[in-house]
Amino acid sequence: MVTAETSQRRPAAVLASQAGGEWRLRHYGPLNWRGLWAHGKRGVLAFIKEGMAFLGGPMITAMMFLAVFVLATGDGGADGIQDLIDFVGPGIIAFTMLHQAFQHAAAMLIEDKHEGVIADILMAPLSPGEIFAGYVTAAMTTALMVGISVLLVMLLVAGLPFERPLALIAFALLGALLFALIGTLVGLWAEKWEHYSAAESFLILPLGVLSGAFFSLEAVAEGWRWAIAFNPAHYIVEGFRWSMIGESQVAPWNAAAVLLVLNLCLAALAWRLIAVGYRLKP
Amino acid sequence: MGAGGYVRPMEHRPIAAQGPQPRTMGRFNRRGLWTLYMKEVRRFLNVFTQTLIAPVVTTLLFLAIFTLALGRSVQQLGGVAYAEFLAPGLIMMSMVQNAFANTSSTIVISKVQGNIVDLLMPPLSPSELTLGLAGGGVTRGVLVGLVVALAMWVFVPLRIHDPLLILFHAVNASLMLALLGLIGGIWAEKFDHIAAVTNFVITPLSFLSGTFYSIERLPESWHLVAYLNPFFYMIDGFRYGFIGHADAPLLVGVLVLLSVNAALWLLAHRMIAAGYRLKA
Repeated sequence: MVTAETSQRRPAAVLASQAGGEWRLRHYGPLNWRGLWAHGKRGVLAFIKEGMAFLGGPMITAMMFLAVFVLATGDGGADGIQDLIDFVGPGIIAFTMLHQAFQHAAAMLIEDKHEGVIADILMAPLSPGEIFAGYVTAAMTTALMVGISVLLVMLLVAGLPFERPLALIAFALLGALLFALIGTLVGLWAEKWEHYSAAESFLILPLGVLSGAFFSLEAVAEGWRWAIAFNPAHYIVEGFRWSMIGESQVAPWNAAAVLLVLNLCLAALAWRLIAVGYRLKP
Repeated sequence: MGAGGYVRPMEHRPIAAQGPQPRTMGRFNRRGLWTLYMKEVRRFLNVFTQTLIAPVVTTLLFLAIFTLALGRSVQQLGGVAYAEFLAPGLIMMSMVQNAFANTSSTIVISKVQGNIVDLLMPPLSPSELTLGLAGGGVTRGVLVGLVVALAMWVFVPLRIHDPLLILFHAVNASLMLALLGLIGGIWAEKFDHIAAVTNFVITPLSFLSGTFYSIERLPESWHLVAYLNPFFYMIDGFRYGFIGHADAPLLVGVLVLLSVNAALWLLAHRMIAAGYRLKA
């Protein structure tokens, strides 16, 4: 028996009902929770399956950066060194996290396109919004996993202060979302791994490195300081710094507002591109 | 003897009467080696934005953050401005990373894609394989170093104290990492393994090599650890070629590089000859 209730939102999958062996349509309601969960979980499991190297790598690199900064500054006295760690630490955590968000979002999409798995995703009863949300949340989850592990190491080894945990969570979510969105856009656009590497070398690394994560705005020549205001990563780094050490060069509400608006714009764009099938459907 | 180093069959009877003859390659298959080497070089030149321009951007970014972050607190190091101290080390870091990437990726990609047989089937001896592959890595390392040095020259006044020492350290450092990449690539069964080697071996060794700081900064007890890191000698000697100041005696560094390279070469040769993880 076919149920009378029909949803126009999406095609309904046909399943055999357990009870009488009759065919029945399965409806998903406004949001296909089960499908979204399966889609997102697949992205996170892909990261976990790749093994510890991918969690250990960012941690080691972050610690190397910290060690090198401390060793290179050298004779600042114990106070000077702690000040430096407090300043650079949040920047390193933010940089590691947003890099991971970008990498995973872009890599998932490119791999799915290369291996033809993208057809399975497009065929599944998932709306464009759900496809989009699955990719982005999976990338954000892995970014938070990496961010939390680097944060824990920093707290344990370097004794960073940790003043506003709630604000840190908010900025971590905003930052991870932003770079997961950039990664999704790059993943949609990229047709080969070369495109991905180009985006990473010429867009993500400059944005991440010239964000003020590693140096103070005061070190930049007067005439160039305006340029950093156009770098979205700058607001993430300053948000992290404000949450952890309680000082920043940008007011936290301004930083959050900039990130929110950017996130909304990029999310709308990415959702639209997935909806029209840009470089996904032939 | 032909142009490509091929020895003709011993008897010069007409081919029609004799039938097809095996082609002997002589002691050294020069044409085969050259083909392998050029394949390795073309492989990275094909994607030069990734292999030549991206390292330039990354290295300049490193230069920017370290001079911006430390330029004020660290005025002088090794008797020169901090940027001048830093530049040779950064050039060296980009060289060794690229030399490693070239050999490790070629082997792992071939193994994963299954076309490693195309490397094992041709009439190339293990020495010729080692030489051709390592030569490709060294070429990429030195070429990247050259391009990065030129780009850096725009921002940092590079002096040249001893060009021969610069060349020696550039070639030997690239060779060491090319051989490490070869060994790592043969050992690795998938890309994750190479990522693990990069993350847990190459990155720590290159960061803690004294690129960014003078070894004198380390606490006394850590000096020995630093002196055990072969990366330290390549950067120290390479930097001496530019600024004329080294932390360790130059001769020690030269001997360390030569002996490590000899040992790695033997190991790589042995692995290829035995077919370790190459032949089923």
